[in-house]
Amino acid sequence: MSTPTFSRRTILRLGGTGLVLPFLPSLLPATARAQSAPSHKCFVMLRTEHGGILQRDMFPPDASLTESLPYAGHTVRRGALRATEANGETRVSAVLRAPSSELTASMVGKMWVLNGLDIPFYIGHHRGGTLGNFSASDQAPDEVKQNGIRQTIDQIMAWSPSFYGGAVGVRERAIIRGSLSFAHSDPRLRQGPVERVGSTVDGSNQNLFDRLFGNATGGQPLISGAVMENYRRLRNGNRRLSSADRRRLDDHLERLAELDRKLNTVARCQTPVRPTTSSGQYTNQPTYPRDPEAQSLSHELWNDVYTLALSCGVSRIVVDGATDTFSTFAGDWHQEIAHQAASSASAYSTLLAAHQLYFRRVFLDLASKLEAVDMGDGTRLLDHTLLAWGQESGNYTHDHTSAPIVAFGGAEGFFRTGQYCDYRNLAKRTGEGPAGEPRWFGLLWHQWLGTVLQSMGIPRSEWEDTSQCPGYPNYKYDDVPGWAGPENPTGPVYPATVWNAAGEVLPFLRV
Amino acid sequence: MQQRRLTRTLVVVAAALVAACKGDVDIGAPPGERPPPIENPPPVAPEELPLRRLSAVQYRNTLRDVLTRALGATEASAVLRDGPVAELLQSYPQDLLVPVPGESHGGFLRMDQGVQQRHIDISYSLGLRVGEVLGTSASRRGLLLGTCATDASTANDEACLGGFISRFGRLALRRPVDADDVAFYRAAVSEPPASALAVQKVVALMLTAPEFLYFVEHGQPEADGTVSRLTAHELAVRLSYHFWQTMPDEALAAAADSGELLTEDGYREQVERLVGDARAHQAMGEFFSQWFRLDALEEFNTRVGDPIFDAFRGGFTPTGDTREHINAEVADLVTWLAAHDGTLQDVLTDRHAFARTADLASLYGVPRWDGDSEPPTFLESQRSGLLTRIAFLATGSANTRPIIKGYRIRNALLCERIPPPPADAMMTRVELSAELTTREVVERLTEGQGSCPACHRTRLNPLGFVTENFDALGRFRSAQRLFDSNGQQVGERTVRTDTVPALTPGDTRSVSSAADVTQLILESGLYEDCFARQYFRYTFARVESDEADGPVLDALSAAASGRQSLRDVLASVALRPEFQRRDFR
Repeated sequence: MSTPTFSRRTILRLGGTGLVLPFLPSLLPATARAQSAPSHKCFVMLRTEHGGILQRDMFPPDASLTESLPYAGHTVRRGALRATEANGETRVSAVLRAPSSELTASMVGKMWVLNGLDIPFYIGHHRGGTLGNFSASDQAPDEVKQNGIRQTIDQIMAWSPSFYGGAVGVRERAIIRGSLSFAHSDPRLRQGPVERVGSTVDGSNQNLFDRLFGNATGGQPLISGAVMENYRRLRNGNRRLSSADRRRLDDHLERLAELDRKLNTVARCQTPVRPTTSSGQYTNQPTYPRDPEAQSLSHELWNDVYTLALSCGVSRIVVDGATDTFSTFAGDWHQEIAHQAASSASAYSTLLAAHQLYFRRVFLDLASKLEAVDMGDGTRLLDHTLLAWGQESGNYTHDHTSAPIVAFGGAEGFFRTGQYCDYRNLAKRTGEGPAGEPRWFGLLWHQWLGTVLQSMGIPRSEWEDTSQCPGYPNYKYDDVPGWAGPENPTGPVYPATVWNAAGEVLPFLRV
Repeated sequence: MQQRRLTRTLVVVAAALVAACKGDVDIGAPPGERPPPIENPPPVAPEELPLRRLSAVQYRNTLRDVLTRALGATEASAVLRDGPVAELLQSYPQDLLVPVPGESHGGFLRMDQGVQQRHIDISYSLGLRVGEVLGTSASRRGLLLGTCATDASTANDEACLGGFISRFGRLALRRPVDADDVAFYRAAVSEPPASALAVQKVVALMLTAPEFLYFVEHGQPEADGTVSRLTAHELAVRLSYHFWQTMPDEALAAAADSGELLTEDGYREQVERLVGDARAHQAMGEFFSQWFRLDALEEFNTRVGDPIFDAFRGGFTPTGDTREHINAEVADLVTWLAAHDGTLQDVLTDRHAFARTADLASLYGVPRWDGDSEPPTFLESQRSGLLTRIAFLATGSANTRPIIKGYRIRNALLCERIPPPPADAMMTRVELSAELTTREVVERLTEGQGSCPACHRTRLNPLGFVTENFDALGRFRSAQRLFDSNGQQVGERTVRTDTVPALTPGDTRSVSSAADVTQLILESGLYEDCFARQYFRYTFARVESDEADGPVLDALSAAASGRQSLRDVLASVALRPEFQRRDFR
């Protein structure tokens, strides 16, 4: 094991956030690949609500798409991710821009952007669709709500022996904040109903730190074995239970086994210094909901703990669903900003500024922190990671097309970084949207999720079922009522060629 | 019954017409549409949720009551104030409202039966910490185990621990503890029997036991196929958690111990006692709040400082608590009615103002209510009941929301399914206008063209328009003040409330007040049918099956339609055989 090093420049840059310096020095001597695992792949999904940023502002210019390829029945395009630099700011698009000291050329080289990925039906407002449970939606068609119930990909990874092996040193299989994650009631055996996973912690960054790095037993006697025996006593006793009762007891026993595993797990790194600042310092302020600076600072504190967790390996999966607005707007964000952005210039301006701030202060902040961790073999933690930012909708709120993916990291050489890929079928578009910008049909979200699983080394045998469609989830539903435009008023719009390609790694992405 | 069947038929026709008009909308099963009741239906227990877990509220209440019964209120309170205990309790996962399939809104917290890893992790940590707080205090050990735990003799320690296991287990496991139980919990303790660690381990094991976290039911030995009547203690638990959200009290437990609860008279006596007790009010308030979707109300103080909102609110300054005060009024209404033989219909028509706080009293223009004496009645004649309570009118902004008001009445109060709006409609905002009333803005946006009028003109807007004589803070008005973007009042227009609500298809009667609409609602029978569905879901924590659960739904609806007291109606579900049985297939 070699000792990781931080350049002064890196520390200064991170120190500019005012947040990282307190713990990084203590982290340095013990972190880097203490795990000595053959792989240290990490998956981080950040997700913001609504979306609704127009193509022209979300994505790089079309002119940067210098290559094309016939694929799945239409032409897909790519090009190197090009940034312009002016007045101390590096700019990839109106949203993807930051001071050049933060969005460095090196970081642009590790960044990539995907356009033209669609969920093939009306999504309304949803939570689960981002990671594969399309049923977790307020307004999706009933068919989707009833039959699109699937565990999310983070949970497939979390319980896959291919990802964690024996989960040695893993204190939390996945760090979850928000309502994006769903798993079977018995996630290990993937049995039972799919249920909301819930947040890993309820509280502050310090609570999460304590959960990941604190004494697992809290100095208490270990009685998990006796607790399990109590459930087995009931489960296997001779008093009447329904078969469903027994299944639920089995599920509980599985979770007790997971608790027992965590109680007996020792982190495989030197315990870092506990963050001295609590995110509660910001979130508990009554003005927090309309204080974008406080929101940014709070998220930066969480990013610190995520970085520690990923570098140490106490967890290698993070799913963070942000609900903050990153704006000073004090009214009903949902109705007055998100829903009106396509028809109101001022609402759109507010929405755009919020997304730009999130990119810089949260997404890029985390990417920079991961980049700052030297893994001791010439790589940075970011190189081992797929760090992705997704949004609830595409270019309009409720729009299921072209939901953007902005990513950093190569997932240990799986992804070719520093590029912009556009999978839209420019010959097949919907009617014009309310802001005058059309929507196009592209490739499927299933293909993106399947690509992610493959990038994390999860064998297809663990997640793919082609009885309905390849890719993930194995749920084929294609109907776009009210959105398809005059050419396709309703009904299926994605050709078989697109569905059939859904099991492949998205074009251009492999190294 | 004939009238109700006719109503259902008419609703089916209306639904079909609307669907045909829209062309691409499946509005699903219409409200109230169920097969006619079977004559003398067999007493089949409804399909059960397996091994229901305690809701978050029930979990907290139970821990509090176990400790209170074991230690006394003062010590229990001290234990719950312990820092880590309080923090862990705070971290226990909150339940979410779970809408029924096909709906986007509504639902009940009890229907959230998902079990998260955090439920297990936190209950484990909490059990150990509570056990530690109890065990390490000699005085608390004395309270729990008796003097045998603190005397000089060790000869009695074994019996001391056994007695503690039996007594504490009787509370935590909510049933008598048998010899096998005592042996199990005793075997888990390797430390001296009266030691701090022994107490901690027993307490922790019991607070993580399946019988503590779940409703474990085995039924009586005799079974009709897979269906069995619950045991006395299982019945006691069902009753207690249904009405009180917590464990059985001593009287109920005693009725279970004696077997009195298994007699018809004894059971009825306990049901009436429970539903009449003040502890039932929390559950009643929870039921009605969730049925009426009061959680959807926005905060009221976030727009203070906005020029239009400031001009609109005038001298009224909302605080961070205003929202809760407004919602609490509905719970107070239900509580009051339950204690005064009110009916379900009275929930709609009662005109008492339950304004405990100055902000609410100010908006209503009534004196504050002290919470005990006869509440004042509304002074404004237009304030006719539930639909004119602030919880049903206010929006947290300067603008009313007629569409949302109409949707809530149709969808929540009357259980009529409304298809989601087309996607592009969501981009359309009902803006405050400097020239038009909100009603006029809504009419222009939704009643003129496209597919909007199919739902808005007949189903949504009218039920919202009829209360447009109340502003967005729920204050009565005859005219709407019009503001420019700087908050300057630039005009005033008379508000119109005349409309044709068409609660049932083909009904062309026009109305002009909330009282008129309330009367039509009461005549329709839809409200009582909807109540039956909602209360079924609340009671059994699952979605009803029209076929299998028809007898329960009809009985509930009939009790409500028959204008039985609210208490009797709510109690009636517990008197149903379905409540008292379990299918163990």
